[in-house]
Amino acid sequence: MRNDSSILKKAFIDSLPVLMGYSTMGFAAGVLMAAKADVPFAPVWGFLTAATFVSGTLSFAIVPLIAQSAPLASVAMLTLAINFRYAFYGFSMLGKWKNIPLAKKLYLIQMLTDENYALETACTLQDGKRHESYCLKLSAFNHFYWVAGCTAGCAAVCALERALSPERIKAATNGIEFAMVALFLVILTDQIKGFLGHGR
Amino acid sequence: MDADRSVYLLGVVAVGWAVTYTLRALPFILFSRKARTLPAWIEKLGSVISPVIIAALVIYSYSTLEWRTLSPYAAGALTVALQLWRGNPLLSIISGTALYMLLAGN
Repeated sequence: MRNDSSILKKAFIDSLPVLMGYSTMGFAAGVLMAAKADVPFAPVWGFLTAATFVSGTLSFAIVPLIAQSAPLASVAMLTLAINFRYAFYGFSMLGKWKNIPLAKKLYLIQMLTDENYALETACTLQDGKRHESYCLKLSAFNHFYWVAGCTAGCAAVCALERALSPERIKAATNGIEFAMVALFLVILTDQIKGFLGHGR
Repeated sequence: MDADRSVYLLGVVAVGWAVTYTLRALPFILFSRKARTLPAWIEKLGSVISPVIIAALVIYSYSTLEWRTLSPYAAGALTVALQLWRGNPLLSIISGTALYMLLAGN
C-alpha cells in the first residue's frame, strides 16, 4: 500500500458493494422519477438531482412532491427531516480531514453519504495523505455509480414511453413507490439492531 | 408550460442541494478552529436521533400508501424479516417492493 495505484485498487474494491447498491437503487429512483414525477426531459432531472443531492432517500422521497408541484418550502422541510442525520457524520471526519485542501474537502463533504461515511471511517490507512487519496477516489467511484444508475433509470422509462403509452407505464410501475418505504425500513432495522447488539 | 416546470425543477434542485450540503458541512462549520475532541453528548445525540427520524419517516411514508389495506404491512414485514435474516439491503428492498406491487394489483 505504498503507491497511488494500490490506493486506487483498494478504493475500487471497497466500492464494489456500493456499485451494486447505488446502480440498482439509482436505477429504481430514476424509474420512479420518470414514471411518477411528471417531469419533461426526465434524464436531465434524474442526472441533476442525483449529482447534487447524492442522497438516495431524498431522490425517492422528492418524487411525490415534484409530482404535485409542492412549494419549495416543503422541499426544504422534507430535505431537512430526511437528511438530518448527515449533520452528525462530519464529526467523525474532523480530525482525519483537518489538513486537506479546501476544494478537495468541499467535494468530500458533498459525498458524505451513508455508504462513504461507513467506508471512510472503517478505512485503516493511517497516513493523512493516503487516507485523503482513498476518500477522494472512493467518493468519485460512488458518485459515478449513483449518477449513472439514476440517469439510466430515467432514460429507460423514456425509451419505453416511446413504445408504450405513459398510462401503461404508470400502471405497470404501480406500487414501485414502496421501494422508498422499504429503504427506510431497512435502515431502521439495521440501526435498531446495531443499537441493541452494538454491531453483533 | 415546460419552461415554468423547468424553473420550478431548478428550484427543487437548488433547495435540495443547499439543505443537504449545509447539513453535511455543519460539523466543519461549527468546529473549524476548535479542538478536535467532541463533547460526548453530541456523539450520543447523533446515535439516538437518527433512528427516531427514520422511524418518523416510515410512519409518514406509510401514510402515502394504501395504509388501510393489508398489503403495505405484509410487504413491510417481509422487508424487515429478510433484512434481519440475510442483512442484504438490496434483497430486502426488491423483495418487499415486488410483493407490494403484486398485492397492489398489477
